[in-house]
This record gives sequence, C-alpha cells and structure tokens, in this order.
Amino acid sequence: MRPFNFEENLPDLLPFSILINEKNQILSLGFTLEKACPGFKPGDEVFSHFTLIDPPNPALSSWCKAEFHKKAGTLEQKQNKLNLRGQFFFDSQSQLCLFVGQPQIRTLSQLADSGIGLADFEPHDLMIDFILLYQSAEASLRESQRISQLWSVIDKEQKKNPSSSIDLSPYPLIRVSELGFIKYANKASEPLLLEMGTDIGKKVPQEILSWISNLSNKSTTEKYEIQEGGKLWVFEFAPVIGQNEFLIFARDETERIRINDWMRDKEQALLRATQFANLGEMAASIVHEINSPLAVIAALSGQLRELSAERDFHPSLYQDLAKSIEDTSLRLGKIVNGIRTLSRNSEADPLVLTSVSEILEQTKELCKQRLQRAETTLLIQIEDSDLKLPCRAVQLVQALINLIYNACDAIEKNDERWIKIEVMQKVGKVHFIVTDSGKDLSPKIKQRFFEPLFTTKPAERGTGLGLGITKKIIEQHLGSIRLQDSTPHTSFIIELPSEVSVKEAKQ
Amino acid sequence: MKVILLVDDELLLLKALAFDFQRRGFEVMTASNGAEAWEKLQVKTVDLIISDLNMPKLDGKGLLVKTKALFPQMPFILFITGSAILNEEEAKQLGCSEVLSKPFEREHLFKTVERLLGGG
Amino acid sequence: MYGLINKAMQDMVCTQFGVPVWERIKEKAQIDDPVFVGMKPYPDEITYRLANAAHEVLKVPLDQVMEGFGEYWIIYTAEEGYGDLMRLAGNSVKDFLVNLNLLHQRLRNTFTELKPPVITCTDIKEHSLNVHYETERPGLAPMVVGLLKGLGKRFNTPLTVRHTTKKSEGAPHDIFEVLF
Repeated sequence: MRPFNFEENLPDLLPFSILINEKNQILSLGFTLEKACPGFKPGDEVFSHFTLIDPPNPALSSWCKAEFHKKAGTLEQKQNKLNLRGQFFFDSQSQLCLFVGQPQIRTLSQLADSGIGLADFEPHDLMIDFILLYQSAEASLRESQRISQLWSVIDKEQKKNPSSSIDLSPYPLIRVSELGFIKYANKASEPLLLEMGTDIGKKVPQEILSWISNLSNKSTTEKYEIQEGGKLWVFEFAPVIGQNEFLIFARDETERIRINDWMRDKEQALLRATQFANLGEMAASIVHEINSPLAVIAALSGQLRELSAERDFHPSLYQDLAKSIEDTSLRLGKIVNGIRTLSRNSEADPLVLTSVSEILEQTKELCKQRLQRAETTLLIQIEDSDLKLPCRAVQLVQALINLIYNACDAIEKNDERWIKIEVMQKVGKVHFIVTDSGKDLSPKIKQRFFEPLFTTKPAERGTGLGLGITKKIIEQHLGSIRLQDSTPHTSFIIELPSEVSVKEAKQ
Repeated sequence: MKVILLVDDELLLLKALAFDFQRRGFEVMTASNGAEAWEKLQVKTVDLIISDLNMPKLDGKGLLVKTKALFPQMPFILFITGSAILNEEEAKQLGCSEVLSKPFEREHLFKTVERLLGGG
Repeated sequence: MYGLINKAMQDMVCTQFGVPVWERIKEKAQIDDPVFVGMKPYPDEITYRLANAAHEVLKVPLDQVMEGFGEYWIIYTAEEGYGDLMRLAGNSVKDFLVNLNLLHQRLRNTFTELKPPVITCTDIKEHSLNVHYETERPGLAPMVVGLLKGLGKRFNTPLTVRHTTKKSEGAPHDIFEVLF
C-alpha cells in the first residue's frame, strides 16, 4: 500500500499550517494562510512573514527544535497582523517542525482585511458560520437599540405634543408657556378659546396670565374661576415638570353653578314655607289663645252690664270686673302683637337692642296654651332684668318657641314636666339656656340633632324642621346653638353676641 | 235645682260663668280640665255640661266621648275655638248637643241652656 | 422575506420622499406593523404589497420601483452591518457574483428561513458575463437589474445590464448579460 502523501497534501489538509526546516525556511504553507501572506514564495524565511508572540522569546533563532514539540504558541502575520493560535510539532526523524493553527479572529472585517475570502474556507468549516452568527447577534442588538431609541423619541414627542388620545378628550386641555402663549390646545378647547378671544400661538387673556405668574409654589395646582358671557369656567393649572410650561385643564361649570343657585333658592323657599307651616302649627293654639281672653272679656262685660242695672250693685264689684276686663284685654293685645309680628317675614329687619325680659314675656304668652295643655311649667330666670341684646325680637321669640314646643313634645309622657329658661350675661355674649325636665340625649342623637330633617318624633308630630329654623335664626344673629354635654337633663345653650357692629347688623 | 258642670282651663271665665248661672238659679260645679270634670261626674250627677275643647289632662273631646258613654242622654255644650282637632259636624256625631264658638254671646248661651234643660 | 428587505424599502422611501409618504404607502399596503425587525421572516406578500403601494403612491412604474430598490439594497445591506461579509464575498463584480451562492449558503445558518435565488455565472470573459437568475418568486427580475447596477457602483465598475432572456416570456429562467 502506498503511503498517503501528507507533505504534498498538507496545504489543503491544514489551511493554516506552516512547515519549516532548521534553517527556518517555509517548506509548505496552508493554502488559506498563503492568501494572507502577500508575496509568499516557498523557501521564504519564516520570520519574514511571521512573528513569534507566544512563547515570548524575541531572541529566538528558530523554533525548529525538540523543545518546541507539542508546545502551544501564537504567531502573528507581519503584514496584516493576523494572529494564529496553534501547536508546534517537531519530528525528530525529519528534523522538521510543523505549526498547526487557527486564525484568532472575532470580526469579519479582520478576516477581510487579511485578504482571506469566503471561498478560502472549506464548506464544512464552521468558523465562518460562528463569526457570522456572532455578527448577526451584534446586528440584532444594534437593531433593538435603534428601535428603543426610536421609541424614546416618539415618547418624547408625545410628551411634548400630547397625542391623539388627549386630542379626543371632551375636556379642554391647553398648554401654555410661561409667557402665556398657547402652545397646544386640544379639540375640546376650541369653544373656550373662541370665548376667550384667543387661539393657538396667541396669548391667553390677561387675567389668566396673571394667575400663571402668581402660581406660588410651582409644584402645585390651583383652581380659578372666571365668568365670561354668562359662562363659568374652572381652570386647574398644572406645571409641566422640567419645562417652563403649564397645562390648563378647563371645566365648564356654568350648569353646576346654575343648579347650585337653583337649589339654594329652593332651599330657602322651603325653609320659608316651613316657617309658615310652623306658624300653622301654632295657629290652632294661637286662635284659642285669642278667643279665650275674648270670651272672658265678653262674659265679664256682659256681667258688668247686667249687674250695674241692679239696685244692690256694689261699686267694688264693678272695680273687680272692670280690672279683669282691662287685664284680659291687655293680655290679648300682647298675643295679637306677637302673632302680627310673627307673620311678617322679618329676616331683613335690622338688629334692635331689645330687652330680654320683653322677649321672654312674649315667648311665654305665645306658649301659654301649649304649656297648659301639656301641663308643663315654664320657669324663667333672668340674671339681670335690664339685660338687653341686639336682635330681631320676633325671630328670637320664634326660635325660643320652637325649643319650648319641642320640649313639650319630648316630655309629654314624663312624670316631671318643666322647662327652664335661664338668661345670663357672659363676656361679650348673652347666654340663653333652655332646659327641660327630660333626661339628657344620647351622644349619637346629639350628633345628629341639628341635621335638617332629623327628628325623633313620630311622623304626625315632628317634621324636624323647627329646629333647623331655630338654628338658622340663631346663626343669622351671629350666634350659636348647641346641646350641652354632661347635664342631667336635655339642655340647649344659645350664645348671642351682646353687641354687634353696624356692619354685622346690616348683614 | 238643676246642676250645671262648667269645664274650662280659663279660670276667669269659669268664675264669671259660674256667677252668671248661679244668679240664674242653677247649681254650678266647676272643673278646670276634663279629667277633673270626669272625676266629679262619678261622684255627683249633673244635668248639663258646658265644656271648653282645649284643656290639659283630658280635653273637651275626650270628656264628651266619656260622658256620652256613661250618660248617653246628657246635654253637652262644647266650646270650639277654631280648633283643627274637632269641627262642628264631628262633635255632633260624637253626641254633642250644641257647639258654640268663643267669644260667645251670653244671651245665646243662656237661652241654649234653657232649651236643653227644658226650663230652669 | 426577511424584515431586512422591508426595512430597506422603508429606508429608501423615507430618505428619498420623506416619512409621510412612507406612512401613506404603508397605509395603502395595509401594513400594521409599526416597525420591521430585520432578523425576522415576514410573508413574501408583504414585500409585494409594499412594492405595489409604492408604485401607486409615488406614481412610478412598478419596474422602476423594483430596479431602484435593487440598487438601494446593495448600499443598504452594506451599511446595515453586512458590509464586511460582502467584502469577504469578493472585491470585484465578478468575484462577488461568483461567490454569491456561497454567501447565501453561509447566511442560511443564521437566517434559517432564507430562500435565496440561485445565481450562476456563465460565459465569464474579461468584459462580460451572463448571470443566470433562478427563483420561485415571480416578478423580481427588475430588482436583479438594479442589484447588478448597484454592484457596479459599489465596486466602482461602470457596467450595463441587458435582460436577454425573460422568464415572463416563457423561458425557464431569467438571464442577464453584464457588460463592463
């Protein structure tokens, strides 16, 4: 069998190999390596084409030595700096040294620079594929980086110029610069801009501009209201962080305000109606209160007439009868007075300095029947009989009457039935304390007591509005009313200013 | 002598009416509210009751109902003063003989009493 | 075809006609993808739709669109990072064309869905050669013309291309004569 001619086939077998003799002449060069060695001729000295990098030994004369056998090494091609990594094989029989290596390349450009081409690689050689794969990975990475960059640009653009979703929002959104120029306005803000008489690129109205410049701490939002052509807009300002711009969110609140006003009117009308309803409640007993004394007067007068026609009529009897008639008439007069003034809507009357005794007197008169029917005693204690305070007497009387009526209802079924009104002066204030013999209310009830329609009375008795009226009256007098805590009985304390300035009086 | 029971919480009126009826030959019993009146009725019978409507403890209506239960034939005059609790029709239905309003005409009252008692 | 092709088309239109035009083309071609990923395979249909849309929007004959694209492709791929690979494939029009199949084969290890055409060169003379173009895909002959012209520009070799045999006329495949 003929031996396989390795030497002849060496360049093809090992495309990156170098065969040298002891004189350092290249006997054979791998065919691919040959491509990387410009101007190579067989017999060239190895050191004219290659430098020994590893094992490092610049003074080395030759590697064609026994000690190099199986040693690993790195050579560098002098012209293109192509690195070869491989192994030395020293054959003692032939005294030749063979270096078998692989190029150390990471990029295709290195390869291309070295003069080696695609065709120089065997189809089965995976090195190209590996480098290609590596470079494709790099290309993918570059691509993702580019996409990510693109995305952040789009994102930034969107942040600067709000995207279509904001444009479609039904709420006006405007972006203004520090100087008030409208940089952007979505579709919904068109009517607003029209009303303000401005447009994108122009300035906002002076008023809004002044608010922008007044925005105190620039990291907050603030609400403002303007009224233009009967419409009410609420603006909320938000600074755009990092830019000298502000976003304005606008809301048309015209309807809301209109509805609020309407509701307020209705509320007031309702309250007025209940005041009269309240009056109606009292009307029955008031009528009785009038008619009763009238009946007395009629009866006594009749008696007087009758008796005076008799012969044995005694003058002293006349005195008694006449006095009774007089007193009763006066009593009647007071009641009528009380009613007359009650029926007027006296909210707008000025505050007049009135004697507390008089107020309580009127109150007593108007409650007499109710108290009698409820068999409830009314005790009045005034610290100082000359005590006066600025008020609308009629309203105050009504407020007190409400409390008394409520108390009557509350203690109706109690064994002990009394209501006490104490009036005392404190610093700058007059205190009215209305206590009834009923026990103190639970904290839960106390909490809700002044709620507009809160009532503990059964349906036919309590509308829960009386107390609301009382509260309103007290408040209109610039006073306060509350239930006292830690008292054995239910006790209201009303505090009213003993003096009010003219301005307050006018309100 | 016929006995009249006067019921009213207005003391002055009670006094005046008592005086008038006594002068006219009636025996008068008084009560200042319906409950007092009812108690007195248990003790002594009367021939006629004149009562106000708005009174504490037991009002005129209550007294009327109670009286009529015990004394169906009892003449009963009720003073109604513009009250919402009871009107004339209702009162008559409950057995009230006559409804008067305050202030009343004295003569009319005396005549009504005479009528209801068939002479003094 | 791989996204790289569609990206090249996008790049070409955007640089020459601007982004809004490209958006219109994309819209017309009913393409939803906001971005083409180079290494991802897309249905051939997309590329065809884009080419057609471009032809309609730009009001340029389809052949011209294809040829222009062919030329652009050479520049684009080189810039997209495949320049070195192209260098490995050859330093002259001739070398490149001869090694093109080899190049495509090597690429198939990475681009597994690659279905490249088969390019064969015959009658290679000093100033001419015949390029045989065999493919499953119809209608891309004008693009080949552009590619060849592009190669000429890349290697600074002025050349002319003649489409001598046309598959569209019934021949088994297209043959182009290149003269430099």
